[in-house]
Amino acid sequence: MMSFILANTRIGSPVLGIILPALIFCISFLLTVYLLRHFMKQNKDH
Amino acid sequence: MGFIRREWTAKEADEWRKEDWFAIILSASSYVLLTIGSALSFLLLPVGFVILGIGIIITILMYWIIDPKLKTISTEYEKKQKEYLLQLEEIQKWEVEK
Amino acid sequence: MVTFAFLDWLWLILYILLMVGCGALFYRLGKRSQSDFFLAGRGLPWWLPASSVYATHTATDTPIWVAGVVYKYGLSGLWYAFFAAWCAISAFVSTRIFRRSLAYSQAEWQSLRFSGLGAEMLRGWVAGWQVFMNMFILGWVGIAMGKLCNMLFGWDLWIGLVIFTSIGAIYVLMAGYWGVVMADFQQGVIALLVIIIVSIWGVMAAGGPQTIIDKLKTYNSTCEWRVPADTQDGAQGLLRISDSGTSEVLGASALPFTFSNAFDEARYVETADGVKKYVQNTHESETNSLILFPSDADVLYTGRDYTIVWKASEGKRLVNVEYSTDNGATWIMIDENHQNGQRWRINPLSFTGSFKGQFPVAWFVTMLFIALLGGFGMGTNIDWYTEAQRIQSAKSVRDASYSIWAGTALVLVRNSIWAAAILGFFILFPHLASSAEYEMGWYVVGFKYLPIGMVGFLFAGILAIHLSTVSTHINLGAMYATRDFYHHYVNPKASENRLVVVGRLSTFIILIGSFIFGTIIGEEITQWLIFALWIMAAGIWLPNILQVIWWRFNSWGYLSSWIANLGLSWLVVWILPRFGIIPELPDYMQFWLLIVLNALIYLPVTFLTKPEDMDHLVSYYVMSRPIGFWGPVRREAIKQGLL
Repeated sequence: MMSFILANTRIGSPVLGIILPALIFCISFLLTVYLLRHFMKQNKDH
Repeated sequence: MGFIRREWTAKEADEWRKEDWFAIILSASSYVLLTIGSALSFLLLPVGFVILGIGIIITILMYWIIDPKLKTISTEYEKKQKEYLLQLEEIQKWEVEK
Repeated sequence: MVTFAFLDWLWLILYILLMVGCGALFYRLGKRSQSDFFLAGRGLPWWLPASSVYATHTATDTPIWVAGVVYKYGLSGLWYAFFAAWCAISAFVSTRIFRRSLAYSQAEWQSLRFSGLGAEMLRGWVAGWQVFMNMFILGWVGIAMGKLCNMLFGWDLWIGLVIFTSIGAIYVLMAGYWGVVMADFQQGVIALLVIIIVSIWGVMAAGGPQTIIDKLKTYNSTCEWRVPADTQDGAQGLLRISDSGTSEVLGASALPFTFSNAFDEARYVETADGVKKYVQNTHESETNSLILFPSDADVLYTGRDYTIVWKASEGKRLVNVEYSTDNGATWIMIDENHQNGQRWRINPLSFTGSFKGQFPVAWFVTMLFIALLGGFGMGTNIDWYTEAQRIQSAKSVRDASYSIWAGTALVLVRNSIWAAAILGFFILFPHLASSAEYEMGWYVVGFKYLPIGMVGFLFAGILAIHLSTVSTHINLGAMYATRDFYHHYVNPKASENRLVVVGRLSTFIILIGSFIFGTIIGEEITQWLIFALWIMAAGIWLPNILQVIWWRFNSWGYLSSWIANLGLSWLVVWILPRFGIIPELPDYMQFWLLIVLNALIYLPVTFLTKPEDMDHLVSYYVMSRPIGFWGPVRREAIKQGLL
C-alpha cells in the first residue's frame, strides 16, 4: 500500500499547505474561546 | 394547516399523536434522501441536488410539525425535573421504601 | 514512510495543544459533581451533544470500513453504514423516553423500568458489559491508530495505540464529560473540514466528477475472487461468464490458466498491478476473448485475491461468474447475479435480485427494518449506549431529540462525502482485489494528493477523529464503573467529591484496560468479536424494543433473552450448520431466525413470571410517558390521580 504514496502526485499549490491549516486552526481557536466564555459565564453562579 | 396541531396543552403533549407519527416517517425519509442526495451532489449530478433539496424540505417540514409539541413537553417536564431527580437519587442510594 | 517537514510538525503540535487545551480548560466545571463529570450538569444546548454524536462516531477505523464497502459495492455500499438511521425514529421516541427518565446510563434505566432483584441483576449485567465493551472499543480503535502509524512512520503497533489515547485521556481525567463534549465540538469541526478537503482532492485526483462518471461507463467488468486454498497445484483453470437470467454463455476462457501453490510474491504483485490496464480499457493487445484476466499466460496462486476482468456485454445487467478445474466438465460459482460493467456503482439502489448477488432486495429490506424500527427501542444498536449519555446531558427533552437527529444526519452526510472520494479512488485504482488494500483508499488519497505542507495537518485531522472517539469511550466506561458499580453497590452515600475522584480513577483503569485489549486484539480475534457483537445485537433486537413499548415485558423476560441469545447465536451461526442441520445462512437470514428462536424462550419466561410491581410501573410511566402497550399501567395511573 505504501507504494501508492508517491511525492510527485500532489495536487495544488504548496501555499495551500499554509493557508488551509491556518484557516481551520483560527476557526477552531475562535470556537474554543467562544465555548469557554459562554459556558464559564453560564455556570458562574453555581 | 388545521390538520396539524400547533398549540399543545401539557396533557395533550404527553400523548402520542399523529404528529409524532408524521415526524417519524418524515425523519426516516429525510435520512434516506440526505444520504443519496449528498453522495450524488458531491459528484455534481443534477439529480443529486434535486434529491438533496427534497431531503432538506422534508427535514424542515418535520421540524415544523414536531417542534411546537417538543417545546411544550420540555417546558412542562422541566417543572417536575427537580422532583424526578430526587426520586432518581433515592433509588440510586437504596432509599426507596416498599 | 511519510516524512514530516518543519511545517508538518508545527501544525501537528499546534493542533494537539489546541485540542487538548480545549478539553482541559473546562477542568473547573468538570470537577464540581458526578453530574458534571459525566453529564456536563445536564445543561447542554442541542448542538453540543449533536457534534459529540458525530465526532464520536467518526473514528480512525471509520473511513477504513466505509471505503471497504463503497469500493466493493459502489454507492450501494452506503446502506452498509445506514444502520445509524435507528436515530431517525429514536430521536422522537426512545430518546424522548430516556431523557425523561433522567437515568445516567442504560444500566441505571433498568432499575427505573424494572424493579426488584431482576432489575438489579440487569443493572449489574449491563454495567459490567459496558465497562468491557468500552475497553474493547478503545483497544480496537487504538490499534487502528497503531496500524496507521505503523504504515506512515514504521512505528511498532503499541506506540500509536498508547500515545494518542493517552493524549485524549489527559483532558478526560481533568474535565470529564465537560472536556469530552467541548473537545468533541472543536474536533468535529476540524474533522468535518478535513474530510471535505480530502474528499474533494480525491475527486479531483480522479479527474473530477464528470470524469468519474464517464470512466465508470467505459471501464470493463470486474469481480473479486479469492482462489480456494485447496485448489490442486498445477491444475488448469477456465472461467465462464453467463447471463444470470437466461444462462446464455457470454464468453469463456479460450485457453486455460494455471493454479499454483508455490507463491511468488514478486510475480503476484506484478500480475495484480498489471490488471489495472484491463479494467481501464487501456491494454494494448487486441483480443477477441471476453475474459481479459486471467489469460493462459497467467499463474494464479491458491489462497490469494485476484480481480477477474471481462468486457461488459451490452444489455446484460447481471451475470454469473464461474470457474472450472476439469476442463469445463463442471463449473463452480464464484459470484451469482454479479453486476456487469461499472456504471452500476453510481446507483445507490442497484439491486442484484430479490435474494441473490451481493446486493439483494431482501438484505436491503432487512437492513431498513433493523435500522429504522430499532429506533423504537433502547440498545437495538450498539451506539445507543454512547448516545444515552449525550441524550441525558441535553438541557431539555427537545434539545435531546434534536441532538440525536442532527448528529446522525451529519454522520450519514459524512459517509456520502467519503463515498464520492472512494469512487474517485476506484477510478484511479480499479484493480485492487483485497480489502486490506482498498479499504485504506481514503487515507491513501489524503497522503498522496494533498499539497506539500498538509501532511502534518492531515495527521492532525486524523488525530482529531481519533481523540473524539477515545475520549468518549474512556469517560463512558468510567461512568458505568462509577455510577452503576461504585455509587450504587459499593458506596451509595459517597459525596460528590468522592464520586469525581472515583470517576478519575475509573477513567485511568479503563485507559490501562484498553491498552491490554489493544495489544491482544489480533486480526482473527477482532473479526470474531465484531461478529459476536452483531449476533448479540441481532438476538436481543426485539427484546430491546419490547422493554420500551410493552408494560408486561419484565426483567426476567429481558434477562432470559440475553442469556438465550448467547447460546442460540452459537447454534445458528456455527454449530447447527456444522452438523448440517441447517444450511449456512446469509447474515440477514440469521437475524430473522434468531428473532424467532429467542422469542420462543423469553416470551414464555415473561408470562410464567410475575409482572413488575404496578406502583413502580406507574411511577416510571408518569415520568417517562412511553409509547406502545401500556394500557393497564395508564389506567392505574389515572386511578391514582397521577394523570
